Amino acid sequence: MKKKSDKKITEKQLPKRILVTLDQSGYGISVLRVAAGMAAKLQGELLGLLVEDINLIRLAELPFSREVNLFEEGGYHLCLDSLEKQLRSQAERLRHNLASIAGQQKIPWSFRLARGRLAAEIMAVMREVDVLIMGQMQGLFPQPLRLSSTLSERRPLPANDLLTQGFRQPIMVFYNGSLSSGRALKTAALLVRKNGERLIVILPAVEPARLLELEQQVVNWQQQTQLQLRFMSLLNNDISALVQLGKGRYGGALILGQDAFLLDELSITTLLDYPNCAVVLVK
Amino acid sequence: MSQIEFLPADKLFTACDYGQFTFDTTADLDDLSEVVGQERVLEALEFGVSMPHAGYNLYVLGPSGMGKHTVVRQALEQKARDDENPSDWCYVNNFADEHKPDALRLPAGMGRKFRDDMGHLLDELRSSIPSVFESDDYRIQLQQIEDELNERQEQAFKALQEEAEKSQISLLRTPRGFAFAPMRDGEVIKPEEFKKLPEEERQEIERIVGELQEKLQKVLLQFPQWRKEGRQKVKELNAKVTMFAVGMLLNEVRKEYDGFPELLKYLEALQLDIIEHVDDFRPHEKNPLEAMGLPGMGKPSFHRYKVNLLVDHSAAKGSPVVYEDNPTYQNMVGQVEHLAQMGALVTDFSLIKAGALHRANGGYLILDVRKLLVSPYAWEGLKRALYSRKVTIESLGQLLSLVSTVTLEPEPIPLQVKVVLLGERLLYYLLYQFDPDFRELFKVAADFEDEIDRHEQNNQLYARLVATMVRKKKLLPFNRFAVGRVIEYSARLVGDAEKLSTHLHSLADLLQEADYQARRAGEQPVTAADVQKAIDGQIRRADRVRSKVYENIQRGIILIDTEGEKVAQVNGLSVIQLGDFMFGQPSRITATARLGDGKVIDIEREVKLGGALHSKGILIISSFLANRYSRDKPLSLSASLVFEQSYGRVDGDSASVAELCALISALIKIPIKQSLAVTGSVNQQGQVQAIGGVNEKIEGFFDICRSRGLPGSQGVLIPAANVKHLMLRQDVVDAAREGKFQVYPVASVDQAIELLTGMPAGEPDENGDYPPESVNGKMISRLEELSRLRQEFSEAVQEKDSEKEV
Repeated sequence: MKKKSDKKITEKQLPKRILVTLDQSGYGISVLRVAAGMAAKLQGELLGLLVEDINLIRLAELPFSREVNLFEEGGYHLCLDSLEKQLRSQAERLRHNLASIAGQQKIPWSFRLARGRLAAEIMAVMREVDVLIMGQMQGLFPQPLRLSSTLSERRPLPANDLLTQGFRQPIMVFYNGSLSSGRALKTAALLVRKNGERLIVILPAVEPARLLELEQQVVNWQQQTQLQLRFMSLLNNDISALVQLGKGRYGGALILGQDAFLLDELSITTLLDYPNCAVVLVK
Repeated sequence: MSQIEFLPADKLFTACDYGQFTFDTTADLDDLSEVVGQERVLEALEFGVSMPHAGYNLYVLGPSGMGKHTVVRQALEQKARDDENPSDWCYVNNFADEHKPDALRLPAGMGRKFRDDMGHLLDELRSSIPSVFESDDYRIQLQQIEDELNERQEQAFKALQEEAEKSQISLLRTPRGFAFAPMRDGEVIKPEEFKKLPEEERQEIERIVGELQEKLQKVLLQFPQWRKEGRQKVKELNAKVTMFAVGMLLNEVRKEYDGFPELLKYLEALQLDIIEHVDDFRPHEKNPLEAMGLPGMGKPSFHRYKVNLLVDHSAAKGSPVVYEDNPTYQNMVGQVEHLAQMGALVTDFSLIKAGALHRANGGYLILDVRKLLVSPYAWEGLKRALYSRKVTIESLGQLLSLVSTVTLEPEPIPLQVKVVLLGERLLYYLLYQFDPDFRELFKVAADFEDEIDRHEQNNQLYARLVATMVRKKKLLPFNRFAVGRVIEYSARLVGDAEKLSTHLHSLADLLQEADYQARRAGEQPVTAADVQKAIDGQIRRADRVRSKVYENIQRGIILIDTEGEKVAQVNGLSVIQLGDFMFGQPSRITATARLGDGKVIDIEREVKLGGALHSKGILIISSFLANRYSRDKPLSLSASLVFEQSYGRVDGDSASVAELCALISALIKIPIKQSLAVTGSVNQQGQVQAIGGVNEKIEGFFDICRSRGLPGSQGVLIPAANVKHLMLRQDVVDAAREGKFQVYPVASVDQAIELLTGMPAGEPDENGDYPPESVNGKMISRLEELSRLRQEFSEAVQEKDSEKEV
């Protein structure tokens, strides 16, 4: 009986409308699958957002713009027509991916295409949803080196065991005692693949007593989940410190409540630049 | 005329003297540990197995059923017990070339230990390697390398970005790469604003962007090299971590096998391979083949670290004595088996199977030569192994270049084995004659004796042999009379009253059948009567053809006279062998003689039913006639000899005395007694020589005579030299004792002719002349007459020819 009421509370507290930023990289598709799996588990709805960067459009209109990459020496001219075509084709492809993955999970879905600054567009849509999952390669830096199979791999996850596999290790969650951080904690528990895996709990930069108190709250909660925990704490309560702490932990996910930090365009941009790690914002 | 005495009854059968036996039954006798009468074989075996030089392998000759296998095995096992235990052999993966597995030699029993140790090691590695890679220490070190390298990338980008920002230019990610764009208020400058900029400023921006692009290109070109360096560092880290996990465990194994350099070399290679393939030991995602659920497919294989224990002597006590019952090529030299996977045949060193040569290596290998020779390429394979002193596993397909399936070339294993071939004499002589390799490789012949002397000492040994076999086969004990009867049977088996058979299978058969008879009668111990029943049973089961032949004689279909006298007709005796049953058959031999040019025609030969030996006998008869009766003149007769009603091949010269007597009778028209039958071969001097199957021949004629009643005049003439072979049936002996049937030993044709005709043969006087009324005198007269007639005929022909010419 007790279990049933717990479950009710959990369902009530967990988000139902999930926004996922779309990205054509393999990792972006994996994130989309995880988001779809989460929506299916929560009987929620999936909203896919693709933002075409306005800066790119402008760049393409400049007469000297050249695109440089590893394989073509000297690069090549970036023209608007070609870019537009690429963007249309990309949008179609991602919409198709979204439809296909959501179809597999039998969940309602919608696709939204926007043109502008990524962070601004995300912020605009964020108001409509309960959770935001950002997993695209938006950072400037190229894909990090994957030197060993023990580290996370940017390989699409199989569709049939989405949420059970979820993100690769490590899963990090920021907990500051707020309601949304509590929900972030529960969402993190959903994403941890199986019992016995470790959840990294990041605590805010607070007084030691408060830190202990927060830690105890998490431990109390942990006793129901059987997850293994590891605690870390921030040096400063800002997004940059959070990003710094997660640096190098490629391929996992960072989950935090929406009210954890002041979420403006700059902080969203910072999180988008969070190197190679999905960021899940929970209301 | 000399009187030729028939043999007394006690000469017809040499009974066993039961008084020599002091036991009641075989239960009182000890087992016989030694081999009876095969001293030569044992000496040869001892010599062969002790000779350390190459080529001193053995061929044990003798007919089947002699117990060759038992004797050889017993002798070899006795020798093998004192030998050192031979080595174990293992095949292991050759990490440098997987198609050529390495062979490892270990002392007996250590092969199994090594295999088990390596199995445990592998189990431990499979748990310890993943755990060491999952440790925080490893993760941290790996993270450091990756952080370092990512930092390097990031720094390169950052530096470029900072340089760009100084000129209000930003680095942007594009769908396919990167681009630099001039920025205003945090956004890329609008094209219309850019156009409004002064020409110099626009050119400056373009120049800076161009330079930055070149720098970016250079940075990007460095990435692959940095990644390579990073991977190398991780590889080194992995090697160190693996070494930590593997080295300690391997060192324990190394300690165990210190002193085996080849094995240590293998462990070294194994360690390097584990380091190189350490990812196999770590958790991995299922690959598509695995995910499809195909057994054994796609999973990393740890097979290559296993040990294929090819030859295990852990339970050995001395060197091995191996008998290969089915000596095919592959059973001899071993084989590489294959598994079918997804329609393809695959193999590895673990599928190498040992052959008999591997198992017998360091000891003795016993083979049946007939089986060996009929197995394709087995003989060649054995010779190759013995010549090269190595066992090389090669499939027949490879050997003959018939198949190109991927297979292995296992390292050949040094071979030190004594091969003992068991086979018939004929095969030995054929091999010796036609295969030069055989002479080189099988230098020791161990020739089994078919028979041993029959005397008291051997009788006692034979009794113990019977006792041993009785116990071994769990038969009822035999009383001494039964043993005596077995000995008599054994003598009859070799057709010699002074010898005993060493044909152990026949002996074993008789013992078992006598035991059956005794059990059936509810008797114990087995008696002589039971043995006799068993003998009678054997004959009864085999004598259908004999009965038919005798029936045809009794019914007058085959013409044999046993009474009265006939000119130019004599009863000869032949032997027919059907399987292991032999019986005598009387045959009517007739002769015709006329004027001619000295030629004796063998009708059997003319129709190609006569063998070489029979023809030889006829030529000897011609020679005898010419030598004795016509020394000074040409032999002027033409004669024909035939086995009447014989429709099969006739061979041997045992009827030559009978044929000669028939010819003499035909020439001088003297009748021959049909109550007698004759056997024996004659030489050019007229001496009668021993023949084979004398017992069967006598019994054959006796059976015919008995069926017509035995008036007392009937008998058989045998060569005197065959008297010692007589082991006649009891009923024949009884008839002889009662004077109803006689056996006459004859030493010369003269004795035979006197008995057959009742006329004196005649002795030559001092001038060499025979009495005119004797057989020999009549023969000389008749031949002179024929000579004269021939002379007259010749002159008449010449005259006739002269008249024609005139």
